[in-house]
Amino acid sequence: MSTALTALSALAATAADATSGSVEIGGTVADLVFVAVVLTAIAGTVLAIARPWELRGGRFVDKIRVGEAVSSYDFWLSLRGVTGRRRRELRAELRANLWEATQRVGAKEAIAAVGPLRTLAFDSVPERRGPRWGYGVAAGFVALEVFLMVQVFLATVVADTAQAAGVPRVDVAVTLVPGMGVQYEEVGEGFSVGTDFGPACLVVALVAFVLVAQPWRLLHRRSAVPA
Amino acid sequence: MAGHDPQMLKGVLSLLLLELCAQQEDYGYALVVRLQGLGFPELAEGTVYPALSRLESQGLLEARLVRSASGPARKYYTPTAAGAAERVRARQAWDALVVAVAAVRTDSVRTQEVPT
Repeated sequence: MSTALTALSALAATAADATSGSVEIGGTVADLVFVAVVLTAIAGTVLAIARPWELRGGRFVDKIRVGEAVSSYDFWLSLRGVTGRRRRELRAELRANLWEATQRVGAKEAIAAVGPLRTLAFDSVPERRGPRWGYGVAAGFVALEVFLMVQVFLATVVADTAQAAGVPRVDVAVTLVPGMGVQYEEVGEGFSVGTDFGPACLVVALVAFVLVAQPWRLLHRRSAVPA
Repeated sequence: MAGHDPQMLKGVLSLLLLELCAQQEDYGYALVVRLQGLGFPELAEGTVYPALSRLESQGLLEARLVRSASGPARKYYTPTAAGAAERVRARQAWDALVVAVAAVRTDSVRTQEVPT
């Protein structure tokens, strides 16, 4: 960390002299395809939840608002641990009621009348005593994202430090995190930066998932006396 | 007219919903509109919808989907046999409460009227 901070200071001092270069990310077309697939999957999921084609008549902007509200409600239901058929039923019911209200008072008022969607979701279903899988998955993704951002920051620091020092090739291994490293190499007029995430990123995500989801709650649920 | 006490309203909401559903099966938003028209203008959807979900989870209401020309299928609620029994019990509890409160109020008035 101190090495990174020192390098960051050097970066700040020599920022004006830093050479700009291109960073190979290995397969630009593949990356674009990946991004397109992810965006399509997200759009498909949102549409499947919002189902705007069921909202007949009315203004387009109201359909968007109702769809957005239903998606937000669905998100809170997922964090509450509601899955499958029950979650679809609750979503469909809210969608129907909101649309009825929208046709009377408009979408803005209809959505305002149901109050905070988090509260609506949490009040509609009792809290499960079991593991919080939804929260766990969210925490795992956040931890992974933070880890990746640190990795990108490290790669930036290494690249800028190497350029400032005029070193054509650098191979950095983070001793505290096995398998994690950054490689910098001058290539022609530009440079190439590669990163190794190692198993640490998965470990970090898994630890966050376990700590938040608390799968040991399964034991509590099995030993709980049924109501 | 001033709004009803929210805590009191919370206590009778289940009875109100069971009564309305027994009179005529209906869906969430329509029940809200009926309640607001019957003297509960402050009752909002955010209060009624979770109450309906809870009553259904408790087996006091059952639901069926009815296609709608204007939008998604609506979920109509009607009391189950357990819901009908609960409605009777809640009515009796409410009547008893009203009588007890009235008795306390009468006694209070009488106490205030006693010359010192």
